[in-house]
Amino acid sequence: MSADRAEPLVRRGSMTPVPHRVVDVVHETRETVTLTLEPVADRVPAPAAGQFTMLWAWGAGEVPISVSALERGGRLVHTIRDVAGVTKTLCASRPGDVLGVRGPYGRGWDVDGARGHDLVLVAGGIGLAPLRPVVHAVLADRAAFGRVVLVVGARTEQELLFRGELDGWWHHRDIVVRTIVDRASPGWTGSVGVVTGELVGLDLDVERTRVMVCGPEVMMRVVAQHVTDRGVPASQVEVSLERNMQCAVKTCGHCQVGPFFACTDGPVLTWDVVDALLTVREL
Amino acid sequence: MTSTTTIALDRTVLPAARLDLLFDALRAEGWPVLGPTLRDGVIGIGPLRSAADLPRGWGDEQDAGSYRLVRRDDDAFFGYAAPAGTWKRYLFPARSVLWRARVIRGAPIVEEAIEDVGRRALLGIRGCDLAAVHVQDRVLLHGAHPDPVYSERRKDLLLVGVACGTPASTCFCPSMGTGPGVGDGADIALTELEADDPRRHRFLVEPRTPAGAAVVAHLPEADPDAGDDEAAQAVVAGAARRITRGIDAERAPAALRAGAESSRWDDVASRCLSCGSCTMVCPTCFCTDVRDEPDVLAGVDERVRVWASCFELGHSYLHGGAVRPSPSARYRQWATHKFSTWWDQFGTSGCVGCGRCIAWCPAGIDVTEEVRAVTEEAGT
Amino acid sequence: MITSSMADELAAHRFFRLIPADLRERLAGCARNVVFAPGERICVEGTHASGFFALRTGRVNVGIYVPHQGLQVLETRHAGDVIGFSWLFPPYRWQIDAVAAEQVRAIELHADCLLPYLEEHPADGYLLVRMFAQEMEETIQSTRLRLLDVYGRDRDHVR
Repeated sequence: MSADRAEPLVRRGSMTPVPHRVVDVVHETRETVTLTLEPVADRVPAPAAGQFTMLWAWGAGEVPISVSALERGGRLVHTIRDVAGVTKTLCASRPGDVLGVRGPYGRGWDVDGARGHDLVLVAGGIGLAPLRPVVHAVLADRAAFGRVVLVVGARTEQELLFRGELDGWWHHRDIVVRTIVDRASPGWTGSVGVVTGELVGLDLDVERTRVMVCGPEVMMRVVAQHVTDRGVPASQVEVSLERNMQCAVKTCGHCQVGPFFACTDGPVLTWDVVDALLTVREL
Repeated sequence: MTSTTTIALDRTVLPAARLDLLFDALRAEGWPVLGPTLRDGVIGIGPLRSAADLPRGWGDEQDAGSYRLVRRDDDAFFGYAAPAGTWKRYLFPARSVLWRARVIRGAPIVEEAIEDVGRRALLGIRGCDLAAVHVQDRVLLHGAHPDPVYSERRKDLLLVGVACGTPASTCFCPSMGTGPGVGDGADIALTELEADDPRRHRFLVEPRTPAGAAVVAHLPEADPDAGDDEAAQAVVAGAARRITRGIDAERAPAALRAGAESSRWDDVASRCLSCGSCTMVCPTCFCTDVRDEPDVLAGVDERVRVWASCFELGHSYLHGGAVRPSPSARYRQWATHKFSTWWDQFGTSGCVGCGRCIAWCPAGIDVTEEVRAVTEEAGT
Repeated sequence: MITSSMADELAAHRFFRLIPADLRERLAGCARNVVFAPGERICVEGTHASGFFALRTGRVNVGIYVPHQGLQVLETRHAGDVIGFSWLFPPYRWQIDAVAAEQVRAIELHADCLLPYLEEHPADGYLLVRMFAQEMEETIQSTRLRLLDVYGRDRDHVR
């Protein structure tokens, strides 16, 4: 956990939010907003890729939201999908509003473990948000990674996140970016289908490939099965689990998945440990 | 409470008629007392001022789906099994306000609102419930983020255990390794002896920590003799003999892991009402809902935490719906958590064998039977 | 020998990986390399289905033409995939349009040459039809997954 020594970290009860001010609001899609926050006074520890925080809006409540970029100086970046309730309030934030932050929490992506490996990132829908910091980490140290492929799935072109950035990664950097939608709209030049369609023709050096998948559970299962069927060791496939998280510190009990708490053992877990769990119905 | 100092842990024998001396000793050491007492037609837990507040001469009869208070034919102070109420309510309240936030000049100011409850002695806690405190310690105190409410209530606690000589038919503490004697972690252990003989009715008092010894030091000195020790051992041995229910705690973790798709879960779900009573009376269940209760007119938003149950449909709710919509999946979650995955998560069993979930199940579901069925189905 | 190099090309294609060498040699005799420019139509709905295509490079959009809206792309086929099931059974008519999304290199296999041979050699026919059945299952499964509308349900990552 890295943090500047100059400013003190918060030392408060684990359930108390730390006030942060909204300094930037970007409307990504019709129902997705990226908020940049700055500490009002105290800051929280710097998050790692794949971690989440509990974001709180006064009078509305608190929800877990993944960090969608890593910034310096205590700034926090989250991309939030408006699915009613608290997320509606968060998405309606304007610069100057003050929100509460707890965290960061959870186990993120093993970015360091992926150095020296080929990397296949598969994102579905809002699942691109938690994976974006991994792409940033790759770009910041491109030579440290082998071949890097990013497959992005979405319902429609209009619901693709970070369109501008995707184009930038594709055109100017040494990352293969493939986009695939469930339904094509006129003029769509990417693919149509499910994300595994983009993986079929991909040559995989299975022993030196790391796979990171984030999206709806069904999608993650299909991708993990596809790559492990092709010989990628399940221990080299990471998925990010989504469960009902309320405390984020392993005490409220809601986010259990068999022996794991999604909030602290996850949200990122390797496929060798979750495979059996996700095939048990209603676990 | 550590016992590393060299303070003398001298035992004593206290006549039952002078039990108030123990209350006086606790008061002298600054310990307000919580303990078993008659309330709401059951033996519950509440504040005690003197021995007169204990349910003297009362016992209980418990079975699957039933609980009855009964008059005993002696004057025992502790002549019943684990109380209907749980000590948990005092360490981990059913409803806690964690903080309050006021909006001042457009920005919320958060103030922590953890209630200070001061020192408290838990008098008369059984082996099972003592073990339950330590299970909750593992969950709420020993993680990376100690719970602020539990920490506050746990930090100044004196645990005065009483060996259980009167188990109910629902009890299964021996199989869980938690009773009927007073296990590790008590500051003082009491054994009530010969309640049927008013002249010999007495307590063997055994301090186990310096804090316990400081209390016992206020009592008259009376060294126990061999007869006292023998009688005390007989109380525990007799209780253990009368307990017939049990869990195969060795085999259960693997068997439940293997038995996730057992048809027994559908069977029990056909009887289970998903009411959550078992989780409310359980001394270790810790699940809570965390929610905000804003008062917009007053400009105050409170973060409130209330007990929750894994039997509630909303417990596993995730935008589109619940992860565990069927009652069978919810019963499986509860039982598997107690006896199997709790080990993975916290290095201990989640069940202490107090039997409350059996007595307070309106459908009379006996968790020991359900776990046995799944274990036997799993074979090895 | 021309057929041998075609047999090697077939061996390098995912679809033919489980086909034994002697059958591959036979298939090579019915095959030729084709190239399509971006936007070129590979299959036209309602016309005679004269065979199938094993894609070597480039993506192909498969869809159905809708009046006033043009081609509605329903799925994209990639290198390693095959296009064309209609040649296997009457009325041997394409049910879909297929258009090259970029420059496409493919191996075209001719039904006129293949079908009589497969009729006479049911064991070989079984093998090839099995490969097609698997391809169809993958296509159907992909369609099923999209019917689930998983991204619509995925209301937010970690809520």
